[in-house]
Amino acid sequence: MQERTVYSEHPEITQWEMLMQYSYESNVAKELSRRGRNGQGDLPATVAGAFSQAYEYFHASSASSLYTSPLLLYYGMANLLSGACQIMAGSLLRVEGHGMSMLPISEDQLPEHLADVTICPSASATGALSVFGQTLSPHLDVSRLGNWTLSGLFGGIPDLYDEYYDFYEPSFPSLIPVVRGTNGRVVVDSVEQYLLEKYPQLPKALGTVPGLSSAYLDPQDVTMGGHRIVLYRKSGGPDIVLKAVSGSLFLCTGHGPMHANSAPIQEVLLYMAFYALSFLSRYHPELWNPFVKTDSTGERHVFAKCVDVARRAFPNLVLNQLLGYSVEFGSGRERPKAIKI
Amino acid sequence: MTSVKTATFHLCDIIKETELRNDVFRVVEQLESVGPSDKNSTIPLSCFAQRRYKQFLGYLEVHFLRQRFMDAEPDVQIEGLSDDQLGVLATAQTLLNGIVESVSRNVFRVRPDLASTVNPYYEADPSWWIAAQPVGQLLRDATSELVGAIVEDEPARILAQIVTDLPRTMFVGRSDLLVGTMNGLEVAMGKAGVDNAPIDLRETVAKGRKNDVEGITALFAFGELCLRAQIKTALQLLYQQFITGKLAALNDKNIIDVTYDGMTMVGPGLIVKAQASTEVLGIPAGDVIVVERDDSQSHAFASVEAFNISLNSQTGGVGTFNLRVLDDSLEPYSGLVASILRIQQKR
Repeated sequence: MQERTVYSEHPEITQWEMLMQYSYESNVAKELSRRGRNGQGDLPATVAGAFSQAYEYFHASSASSLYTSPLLLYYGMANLLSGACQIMAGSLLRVEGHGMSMLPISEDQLPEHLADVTICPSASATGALSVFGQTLSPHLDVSRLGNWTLSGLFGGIPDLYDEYYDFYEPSFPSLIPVVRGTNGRVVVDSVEQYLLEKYPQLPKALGTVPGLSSAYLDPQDVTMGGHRIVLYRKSGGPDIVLKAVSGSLFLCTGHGPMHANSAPIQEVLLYMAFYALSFLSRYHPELWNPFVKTDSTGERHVFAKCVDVARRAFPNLVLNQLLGYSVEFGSGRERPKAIKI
Repeated sequence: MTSVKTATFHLCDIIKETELRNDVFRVVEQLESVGPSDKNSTIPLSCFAQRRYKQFLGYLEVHFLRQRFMDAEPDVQIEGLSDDQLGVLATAQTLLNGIVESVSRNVFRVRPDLASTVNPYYEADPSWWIAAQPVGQLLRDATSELVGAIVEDEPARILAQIVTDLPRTMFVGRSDLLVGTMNGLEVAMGKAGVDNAPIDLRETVAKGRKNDVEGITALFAFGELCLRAQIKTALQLLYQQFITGKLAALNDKNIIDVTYDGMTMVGPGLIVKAQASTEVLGIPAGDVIVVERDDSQSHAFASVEAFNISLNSQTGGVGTFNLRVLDDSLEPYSGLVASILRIQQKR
């Protein structure tokens, strides 16, 4: 996706200022018309209402503690996705249910970590996960997503990378940080030495990255001046890295048995994660409340960070979908470009 | 009319199926895989053999002149070729040399004294390949087809006309000077790179317009240079068929960037950066390779003018190929051919 920088000293505020244009029915009608869609009937009002609700829920979550903020965010995400997807589809979308469920949590066998709970996407075509997921990512087949643990979802969120990997210490990385270098024409992404030391099976993990061979030449193992794996982007090859809000870049490994499946887009991962978090807070207060109040393991910190990340990243991701380009917020002043005459 | 490229590849196909090819492959493998001898002072012949544009002559030259090296360095022993190795290499070299001699006999019909100047193996001693065995009819026919294609092509026709127009006594006894001039031009063009031409090249070529000694010399030298380059490329392709049986390729599996794709007065050139890999690292300067690009350009054959490799802890190994793009004539200096043709047509 092409990137454009928007000047902002408060990205979390500015992204909502940009999204809230869709809380006005006439703006929604104009947007639908611009997309060649009919902006008549209930659609503009439905969309405008969804954006207004989304804003309220996100705003409320920022004033709430971890006890309730995940639930508020989940409702905010549902509304934001509803509004955005109906603009993108150009029609009212029929949604029945969450489109996912949770595996029961046995009282006799509580999970080691709270994030070991499992989310099961539903094959239902009218479930929210399926409707929203396929509008945002047409190739997504929710019925083939397979079950995910909450920690597995955490592992796929780039801005949560440090907190997740420091706490859960997974044996197989879902995300591989890369350092990018470029001379303006050639792009080189490299996997640094500390990662190779931490994950001895990392070269094998690289082999599960979907689209790696289309995007890059064969990985080059460089053992001079340290050890790193160097990946040269093919001329005309696609950019398959995932970019965090922080600007850090990651390659996503495959998911599921044999790591053969591509991970879904971030919007879907976050939506599933917050379904699970809201489920825990609503239907398992006996687990949730003590966890929020007295967790001494440090897992609470990961959950709290996830809430902060979602509050910042999710609206930005949806905004990108609507605009068709990646909005990056920066506080650098616009300066004249250097030109050659 | 069959193009030089088509005729060369046809001959390559014939070579592929011959016993001679298997023998050459075996012999070259023996020579290149010789390790250090028990006697520390004995050096394998392959260490001294120059391959670029010398093909099998490189091995033969060292074999027959090794005494000269050893006389200069008494502590050094250079292993010679066995009778079998000598016979095989001599036969292959005779095949290649035969192509050159047939072309030059035709082009220099009216001045046979100058025929050797266009030979890439100038100053080679024919006794070096006296051990050659006869080759089969199929090979002889395909070789004739290639000779015919070269003779009918522009570089040979241009030069033949120039030779015909030469004053009878011009360049008599000056073969060394002519070859030295060509070599000097070639070195200058090599130093300028594939993305540039020597500063004074246009001026030097333009001298060919004049009908004086300087003008005739310039036209003749450039005409010879172009024909010799074409022949060298064809011979190198045949040599590659003997020793590897395949053309190395730069393609989307190894190309990092094409930093130059353009035309100079000499001809079209490419500068390609490729990821260092076993296949890429093994390509010597002088070889013909294939460049396959994903964009609208169809694949191109190119001669490696120069190659270097950089190793860096941040960016790994990167090979830089300076390439002269070959047309259907297998001519690396097609720009020069066009220039001298224009001059010749105006005279």
